[in-house]
Amino acid sequence: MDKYEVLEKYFKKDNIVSFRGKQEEAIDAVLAGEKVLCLMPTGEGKSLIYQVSGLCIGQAVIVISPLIALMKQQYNDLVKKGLRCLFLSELDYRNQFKELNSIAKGSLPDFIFISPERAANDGHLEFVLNLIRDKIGLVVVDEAHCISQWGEDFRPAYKTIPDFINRVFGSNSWPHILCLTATLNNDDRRQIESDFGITKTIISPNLWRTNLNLTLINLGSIKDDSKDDILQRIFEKHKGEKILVFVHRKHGSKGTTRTLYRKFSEMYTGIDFFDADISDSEKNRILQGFKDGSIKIVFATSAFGMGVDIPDIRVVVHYLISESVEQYYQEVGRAGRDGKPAYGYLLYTKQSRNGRKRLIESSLCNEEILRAEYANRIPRRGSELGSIKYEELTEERRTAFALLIEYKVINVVAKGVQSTQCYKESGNEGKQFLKEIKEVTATQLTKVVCKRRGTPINSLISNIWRLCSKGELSLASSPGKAIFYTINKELYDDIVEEIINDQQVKREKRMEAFMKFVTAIENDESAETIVKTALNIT
Amino acid sequence: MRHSMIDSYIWEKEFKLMLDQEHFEKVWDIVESSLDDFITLYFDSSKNPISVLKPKDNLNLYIRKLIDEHCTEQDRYIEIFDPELMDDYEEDVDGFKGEILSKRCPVIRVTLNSKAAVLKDWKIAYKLASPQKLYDTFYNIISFAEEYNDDMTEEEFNEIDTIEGNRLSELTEDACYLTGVIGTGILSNVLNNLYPRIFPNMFKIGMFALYILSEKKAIEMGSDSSEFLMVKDDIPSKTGIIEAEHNYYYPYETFALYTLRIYRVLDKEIQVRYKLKFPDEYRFVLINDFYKYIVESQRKDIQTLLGNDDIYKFRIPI
Repeated sequence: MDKYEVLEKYFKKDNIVSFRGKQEEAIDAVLAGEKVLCLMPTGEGKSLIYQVSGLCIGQAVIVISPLIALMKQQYNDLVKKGLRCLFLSELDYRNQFKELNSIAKGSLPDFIFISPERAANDGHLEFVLNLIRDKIGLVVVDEAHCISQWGEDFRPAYKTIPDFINRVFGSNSWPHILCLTATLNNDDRRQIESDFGITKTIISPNLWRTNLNLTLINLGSIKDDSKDDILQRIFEKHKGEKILVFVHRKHGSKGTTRTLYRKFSEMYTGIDFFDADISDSEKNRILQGFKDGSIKIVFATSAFGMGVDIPDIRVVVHYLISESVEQYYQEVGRAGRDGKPAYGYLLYTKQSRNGRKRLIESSLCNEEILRAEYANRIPRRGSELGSIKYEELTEERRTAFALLIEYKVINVVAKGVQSTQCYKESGNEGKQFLKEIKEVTATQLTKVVCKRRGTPINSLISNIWRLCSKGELSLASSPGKAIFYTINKELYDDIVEEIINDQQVKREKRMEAFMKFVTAIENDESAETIVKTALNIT
Repeated sequence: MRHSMIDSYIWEKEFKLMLDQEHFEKVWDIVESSLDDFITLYFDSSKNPISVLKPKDNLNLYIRKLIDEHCTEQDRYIEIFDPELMDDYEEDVDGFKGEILSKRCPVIRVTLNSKAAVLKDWKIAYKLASPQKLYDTFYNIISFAEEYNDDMTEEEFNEIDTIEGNRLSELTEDACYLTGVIGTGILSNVLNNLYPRIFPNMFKIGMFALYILSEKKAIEMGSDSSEFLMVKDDIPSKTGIIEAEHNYYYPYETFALYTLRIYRVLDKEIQVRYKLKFPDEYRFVLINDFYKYIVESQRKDIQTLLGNDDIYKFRIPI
């Protein structure tokens, strides 16, 4: 099918009958085999680019996306169109196992949604995708700005996506590649272009959203408490409309998602809060309520994610100044995706400036965390092989772990399971395999098996995946996933210095960008001028 | 004890009393005087008797049922804490923590999966705990238990009648605890499952049972609170009332002596009433059941202590 046929067949019902802006150019570039980076403002239809491209190519599409809520939304939209999609995070371990084996046997969905963490750490997924790599036509990296360590949205796992693609496809056999994002400064752009070998960068001329009316309110040295009065006035002015308030703090005695929710819920109905600490089901409830209009005001952190599709948010308020112009524009861009007039208010105080500075200063990895993580990673009592359960790491430890890999202190040798106890035989080969494991050690711990046999761990793990894919092993219980690694070299002081200096440079860069933002606000420059200057929008 | 008094002079004094034989005997006098009524009620309470059977036979059936249930659970512990396997685990302490303890050790698995708010801090401490330290602690526990079991003849066991006499203070000397992670709750659960002949289970129910048997009194306690409870007077609660938990710092060796003496009374009663002998091999299985009965009979009061709205608190095993 060509792109027009795809549009006709799958998108006509959504009243999408033609392409907008740079969509067609981006689709053509992907289909021509370019590795594409596409910058397009929120609401201009980035998702359509990968959906149409994927359907034209006619093979499976892997979509790597940072947020479960975002993936869920896109998954639901495509399923409604009758397309076969797979969203692994939504499934329990048994169904994940079943789906991966199904893929291994050649039954492929049209779209496979995975998080960057899964791409980095799920060895079974990687094995299966490698088996059927010739049937995958396109890899999409959504919200690609998360790859940038220069920004607050940085996710360590994003940095490993190129390695993931290499391991699945081979370094010279990448499929079509499409990276999508709404906001990117030059440094971020260069990094993505380098990491993904981008051959074509398409930038929408409409990066400036003309339907957004942005107001920067410089409250100078007044205490943050007084912002609440201004906030209330905004609520009154926009009564009945959907208002998203970015607060950026979850916990504390004031000025957080929860304290503001408690205060204003005494005055207004249809009000809620959204941050990383609420359950997934709560997040879904709030998103749904905000979508259908039963919730009108939401206090949120940046966990109210990128690309969430609620077109009629009319107002976005920044209660706390964002870290950067990019983040500010990204977040205020949640408003007015329906193209109708929308409003953004940023409440700036010197107190909140100082608060944000403290957050930046404590961001990224410091020496203490780095050394602690390294100490934790040293394999026990003379063993060469270490193992780690990635999902148990805190965010800062993940960053430290990623840095130790990046600087080749640690080498990941396999991504597998800690024990074969979770498997049961489903065929003769599986039966024999498990029997032999138990004869080596009743513990069935994979590390112990390898040590006793003198075989490399990656060979045992690959064998497990192979037997699973062949249907020789099935799951008896939830598999305990682990990353196995070796220590390449000691974390000498000079390496620590190099890493910390690099982190410090990034921290300073972020601080510099933030202070430029602050200075522009304090000089009473307009939001439009500030955004256009920072993002090179003409 | 009161949580607000941790590390205070009163706290230290109270803790010393809990290890003091003289103080023990004062408390025991009250516990012993409460026992008769509870024992009578325990034996008279419905245990699904079969009407065609005599009381002795019904009790026999019930004892068998208790032991069978214990053995089913015991098998799970024996499977993973086989002393030979402990040597294998040393080669993969991460796997020991992540697989063996977290997924296959019943008490840890259930506690990790519990939704009780009171366990939040413990879960964090467990997640952060060094796999090597966890392994070392369990290695010490299993080694201690094996040696203690081998050395402790029935003759010697029957002679124990003091806190010091049971030698369970050696658990502390042998590094069988890991602060904030492996305390008496988990430790005694594992020991009791492996060797119910000699190790009682100091699960929270046992502590509440002793609280009830001691007539809920504060006996010689400077804080004017029961030594079997931890009153959370400095921790705000969802319910607005001051809640209490079992005293998780209570010395195991003292608890063990109360439990042993209670067992002796109960065992004697079974012999007198029913001409039956509860198997020594599983002696503390009987007490587990007796303690549960006592607490169940005053469930409402205990639940109020715990803070009524958190129903999960009552069900967690440690």
